[in-house]
Amino acid sequence: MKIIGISILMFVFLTVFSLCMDILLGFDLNTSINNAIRPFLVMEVTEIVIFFLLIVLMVVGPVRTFYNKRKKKKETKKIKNM
Amino acid sequence: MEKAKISAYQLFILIVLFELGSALLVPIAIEANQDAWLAILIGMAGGFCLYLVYHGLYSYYPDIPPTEYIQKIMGSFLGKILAFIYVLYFIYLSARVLRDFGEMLITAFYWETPLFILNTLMVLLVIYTIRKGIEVLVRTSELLFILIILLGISVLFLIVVSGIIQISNLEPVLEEGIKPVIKTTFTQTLYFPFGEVIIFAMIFPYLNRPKKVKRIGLLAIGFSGLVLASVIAINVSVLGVNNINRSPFPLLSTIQTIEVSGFLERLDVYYILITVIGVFFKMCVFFYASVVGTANLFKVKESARLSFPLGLAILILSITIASNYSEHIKEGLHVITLYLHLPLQVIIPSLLLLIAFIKNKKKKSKQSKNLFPKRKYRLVERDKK
Repeated sequence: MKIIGISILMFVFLTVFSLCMDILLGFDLNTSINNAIRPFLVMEVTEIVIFFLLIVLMVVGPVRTFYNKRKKKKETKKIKNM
Repeated sequence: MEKAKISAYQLFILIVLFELGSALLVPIAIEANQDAWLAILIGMAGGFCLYLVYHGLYSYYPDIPPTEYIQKIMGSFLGKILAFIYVLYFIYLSARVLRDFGEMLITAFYWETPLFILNTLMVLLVIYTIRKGIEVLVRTSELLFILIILLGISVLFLIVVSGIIQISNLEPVLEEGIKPVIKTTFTQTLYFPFGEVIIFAMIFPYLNRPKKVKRIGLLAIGFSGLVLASVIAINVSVLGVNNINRSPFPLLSTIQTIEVSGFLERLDVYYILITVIGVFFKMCVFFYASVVGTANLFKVKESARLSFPLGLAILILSITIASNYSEHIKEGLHVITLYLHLPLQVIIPSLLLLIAFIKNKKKKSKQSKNLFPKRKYRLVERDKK
């Protein structure tokens, strides 16, 4: 979960970074936001499928390790209580 | 930090491949017209100075990465913010290199393939390499460096044999004086590609012989600078200044003009191989530094676990970074150099070095002051005995 949090934080800051560069280039905020979003609006089906597959893959790994850790903690607690 | 060690020779190869990576791909120093090679050489001299600054910082803190020693120099709060900015900067540059690669393939070869797919393939490859660690990366670079050298020599041989080099295109030297060359150096070539060696500050702690860092780094920058300057001089002498100014990928245009005995032509594959290998290593180094930096900053034990999410962030950023190639290049050569490269490659490292120097001097003087009372104490004790 920490990994997902870190990556979301980094992504948000990177997007702000990129928008700032666009603004420094001479675009206004609305245009730079539109420029950033537009490539995702014109994606083909294959691109969309791959994109979501990558996002799912990113989320699945950390969530699985998180639940595994939780399970292990519960098991160790049970053993201690016994 | 992972427990890995790399040799001085491997660092040399990595720096050379890194420097040549996207510098061979995009048109650099074209504002200097036929003196572009001179701008590269002066940029190389500036690159030496910048490298000495980064090496100076490394010599004060040889066992820790910059994300950690920045905190020691600037204090915890300010240092963490600065380290975070540096990590963002590395990721951003990685995304820029990825975009360069994707745009090159789309413009020149894969007209129908979407940018997203090409970038995804490259990012997956880079993620896989980084998950395997720095040692795998440097061993791969050792293998592919030989291939690059062979390709370079054969391309040079074919260009010379086909008789397309016209030295007169490089003349007159310094037509408008030295001013445009110096301006191009300080607005472009100093930072891209030479100033970007700041990324190797993240890799220095892995070296098995720290004493060789300085000499090897300077040698690598000198070698890559000479190669780059000669490539640009060949480009100008083959294409001429007007064509260079219009060409999005000058080296590709040069290779496309090769024609030996009427049958050896269309050697675009040379260009693809050279640039794909170069871009791969450049991206890998940037990405590795950003993964290690993030792990160090957020105290993540297994840095490899960060590689996939950060790779995805780089992929998305490479798409959103600019709406088209010309915007991307303009942003890279004019905005980024002024607002990102200049402060983060030149000003902040120089200030850090100054502060580190003063701090270490103070420490030394304190230590020498503390030594005397101890000595007295010891002498008194010895007398008593």
